[in-house]
Amino acid sequence: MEFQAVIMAGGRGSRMTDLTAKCPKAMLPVGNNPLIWYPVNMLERAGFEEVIIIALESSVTDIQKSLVSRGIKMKLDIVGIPDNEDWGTAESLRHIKDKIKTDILVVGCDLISDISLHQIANLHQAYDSSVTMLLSPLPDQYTDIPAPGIKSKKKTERDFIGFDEKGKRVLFLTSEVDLEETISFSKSTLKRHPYINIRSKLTDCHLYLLKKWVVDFLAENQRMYTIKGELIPHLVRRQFCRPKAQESEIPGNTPASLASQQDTKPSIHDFTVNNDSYSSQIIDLSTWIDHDGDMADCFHGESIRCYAHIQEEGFCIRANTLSSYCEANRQVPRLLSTLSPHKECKLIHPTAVVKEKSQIGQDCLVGEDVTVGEKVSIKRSVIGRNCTIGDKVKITGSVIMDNIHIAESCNIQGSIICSQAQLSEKCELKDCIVGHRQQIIAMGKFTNEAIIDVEKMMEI
Amino acid sequence: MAPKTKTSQRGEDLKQEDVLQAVVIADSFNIRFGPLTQKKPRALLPLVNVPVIDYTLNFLAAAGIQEVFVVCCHLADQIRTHLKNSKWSESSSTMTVTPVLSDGCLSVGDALREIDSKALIRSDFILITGDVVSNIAVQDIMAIHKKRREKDKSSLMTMIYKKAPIGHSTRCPEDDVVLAVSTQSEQVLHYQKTRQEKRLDMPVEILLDNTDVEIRYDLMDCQISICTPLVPQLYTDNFDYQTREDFVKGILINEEILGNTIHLHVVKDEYAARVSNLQMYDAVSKDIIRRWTFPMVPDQNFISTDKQRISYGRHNIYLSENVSLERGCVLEENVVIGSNTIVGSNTSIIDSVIGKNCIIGENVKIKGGYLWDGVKVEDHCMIDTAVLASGVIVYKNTTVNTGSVLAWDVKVGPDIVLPMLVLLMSEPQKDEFDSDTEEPIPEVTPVFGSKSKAFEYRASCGSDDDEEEDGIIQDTWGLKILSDDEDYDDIYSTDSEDDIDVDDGVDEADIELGDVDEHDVVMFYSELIDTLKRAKEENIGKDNVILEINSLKHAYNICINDVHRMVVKAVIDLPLSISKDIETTQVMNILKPQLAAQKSLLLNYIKSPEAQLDCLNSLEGFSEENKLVKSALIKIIHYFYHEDMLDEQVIFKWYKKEPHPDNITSHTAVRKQVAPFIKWLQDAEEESSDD
Repeated sequence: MEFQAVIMAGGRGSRMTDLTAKCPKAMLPVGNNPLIWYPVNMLERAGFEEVIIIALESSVTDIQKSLVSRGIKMKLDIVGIPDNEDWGTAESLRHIKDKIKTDILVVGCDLISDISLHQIANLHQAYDSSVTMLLSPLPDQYTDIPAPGIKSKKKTERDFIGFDEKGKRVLFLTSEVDLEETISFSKSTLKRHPYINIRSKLTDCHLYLLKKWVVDFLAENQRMYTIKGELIPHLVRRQFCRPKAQESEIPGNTPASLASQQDTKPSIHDFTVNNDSYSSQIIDLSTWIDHDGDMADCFHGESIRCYAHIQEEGFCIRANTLSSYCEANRQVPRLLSTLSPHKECKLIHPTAVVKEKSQIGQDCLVGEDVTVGEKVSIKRSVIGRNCTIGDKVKITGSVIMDNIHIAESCNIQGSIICSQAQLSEKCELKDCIVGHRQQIIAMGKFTNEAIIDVEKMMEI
Repeated sequence: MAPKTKTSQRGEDLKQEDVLQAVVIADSFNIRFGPLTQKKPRALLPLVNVPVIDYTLNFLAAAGIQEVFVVCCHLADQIRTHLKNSKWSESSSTMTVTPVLSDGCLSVGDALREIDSKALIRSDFILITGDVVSNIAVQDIMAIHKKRREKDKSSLMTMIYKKAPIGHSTRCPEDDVVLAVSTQSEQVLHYQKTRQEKRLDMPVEILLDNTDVEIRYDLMDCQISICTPLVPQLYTDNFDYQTREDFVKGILINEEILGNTIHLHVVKDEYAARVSNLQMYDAVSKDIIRRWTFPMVPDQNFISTDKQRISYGRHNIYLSENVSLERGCVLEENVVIGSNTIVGSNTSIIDSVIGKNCIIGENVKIKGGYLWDGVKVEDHCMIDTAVLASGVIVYKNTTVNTGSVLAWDVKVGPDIVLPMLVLLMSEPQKDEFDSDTEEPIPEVTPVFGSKSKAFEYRASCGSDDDEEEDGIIQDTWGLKILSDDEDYDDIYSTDSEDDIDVDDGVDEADIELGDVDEHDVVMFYSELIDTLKRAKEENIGKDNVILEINSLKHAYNICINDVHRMVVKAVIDLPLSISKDIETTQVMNILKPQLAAQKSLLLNYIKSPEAQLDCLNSLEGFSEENKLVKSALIKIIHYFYHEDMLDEQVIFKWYKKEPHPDNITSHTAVRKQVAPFIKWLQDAEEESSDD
């Protein structure tokens, strides 16, 4: 493929700070794999041979190690970004701009999907698109399920995305927080695109194919902070803007304009100029046209074009919030066989010891060296490595990370237990988060709480 | 096609409902058809030789409608008589057509209130205006509507829209509308006429409350809607509803309170159009001739009271009985000719409709003409895109230009060229409000020819609310494409500015800097032109003009180089823009006195070599955009040199200047043009140095 792949793994997981305080987001375990393994795996399946990973400096070695240990054969180029500065995705991309030689594929480290990338790449190339994004109609269950931890007011982060008649081109993009009293369309835009279908049930998967010039443009615009927040909306809006270059071609009735333009920064349209005369000739000579009803040029002469591929089938989730992280863990066991077809994949690791009369559901994962006691029931859950689970424990819909000791008769529902935690007997946890190295006293009962490094909470 | 399913469909409907009803509003409540509708209601105007309302009634009959109420207001008696004599009043008719006379109606709202007060409606009915031509299978849509009603009682109305891309000929600019529709339920969420607005705003709630919304600007209103019996009642309850637009907007605004909804049905392949103004009259006529409206085409002769036969030939030529075509006359394509019409020799007709009993002379050219019955066109006339009502006489050698309307019994000519877009009637217009100012009616009106009887009609006399709009529509008839293009460019350019305004501040500053600068320069220039104009008109002294220009310079923050350029440009631009149609040879004759008059002003600015260079650059730039200047560039430069405003050294310097990479071609072209002058200068210099 003629794309360079970039994975953005420098995020801090600001939507699930309870989990990411001790562990970088990219390394959070999902189905006993670090989160970053999923996008890397997706790229490998698509045939990429190299990938650039942007990660926090402190986590570079961890990532490298864990990926190699899981049999990733791709050439990994992991670029560290400073831990103490809060860089956005756009800044990160600017940081590696010298490595970018072709169009790029940018993907966040939190995308778990079984999509085959050629569909979106085909779309990108067929329409000579500037930006192609991946959208997915997420079922409500992924976002509406109650999140473990302290109940917080649910924030809506819906995107409103307007498509053309074919449902491919993106004509309108705004997120719910940016909405004002009215939404407004200019008549000239409507004249060229008289049909706009605005959908709000789609989730942006943060997988983008960007033209090389977009990276160049980004490099010049220091003020852009993130790809999703600023770059993409900017490009979507600029699609209908007339290039300024044309104005200066109109014989100068204002001689001053020429002079003033020379010292201003190049506008976005200057970046779109296609140096490849061959491909512009193809457009000139081709009779293909992307719209009907008028005699205008292909694409109406618009040089910036944004498209989106909507993944109607298959699995796709972004593990970027607590609830979606839990849901990802619940879904992944079903998915592992398709994600890594070559590796023999057993849900219960051969080294795990499960005693009699214990029931482990088909939708569970049990890691290496786990000991499970008698009469244990595990449903819709993921158990990490080196865990000890006592007798008569019930675990439902939960994530148990590595090296955790759970004493007898505990009942754990919909919770996340971080590594090295100790649960004493007869604990009852419902929709809770238990932090790193935390200990829960015997008979403790908790609902919707985050038991993390704050000592006060333990004393209660 | 509608008629094939007719019988079976009607049988089914009979079981469900007792009768299918329709309400036809046979009045437009406006004066779009100018003088034509003063004597005849719009519903009876002939469209390809058939009264408009017959198309509508045929459409309803084909859809299996059994009972039709025709609301007539203006000249209601004529409509009643027409219906009485039509095939609908014969005993074999499948449909009963009842005229509802109500002289007091001033709007669609009034008409529906009238219907409501008479309690004529018993079930869901079709609401249509009496000027719609359509072959939509409306019975299918009726079925969809009823099905929806069973599930959802709140659905009040299904509006039928047709998919028509922008620029579609039957898409009436007046009715342009943007709709927001829910994709799943086809419920209308927002309705907005676009009119002259450049941006279209819709409330954000429609996005928040619906997950899947379509914004549609690719639809045209067919003016057909399926209504529940509640609709007339709602009109009665809300006496401020005048039009269907009011109704739709009212329902949408009160949707949350009253819970009523409106739905949309989009048809794709069928035909529907409303003859709402002259432009549409032209477009629909052409569509009928080109058989888009099948089965309602001229040769089908669907008004059965009239038994004449019409033959259909190649290139869409329709000829009635007893048409006599003299030797050498050419009917090119898309022509309909009514019975007993005579077409003279060497006459050529294209894209036109000619009524019964017309007499067309020799060597006449008719293109896009709509000649109604009994029109007489004498020899050597030209008619281009015009409507000539019954009884019009065009005397010989007369040209009727694009967009004209000659109402009943108008006479024009001979030997005259009518201006474009002229509306004529045979009697002077009566002022509706004060008829005291009556002048004696002259026998002839020499403006329109020595034998003429024609008076200009002005739409502004009407008591219509949207006169301005009216004017726009009238103006654009026949010039549609031209005006549309201008419109587009206009919006296009402002749009890009708008977009910058709403930008998120990423590179806003940079772009805006350039923009503002440019804008100021343009403003400065226009002010400068105004100043010079006024100076000339009011004889303001040179010193004062200079003072004013300098203050403008500060006001707009223009640098001195630009001022030099602008002044030179303005001085040349002004006389050229005032006088029109200048031959290239005359440019200097016009310019010279002006330049002489402004010499002192120019000298005030163009002193230093740099200023002179600015002056030359300005001339060069201006010559690129103005052909006249280009043709006379060498003479202008020569004049400036002659008047000692330009130094020969500066001219040489300018001539040798390196071209800007952007405009090498124009640069060399200009150099080539002035080469003889430079040569002459060099020779002169050498000569003087020799001395």
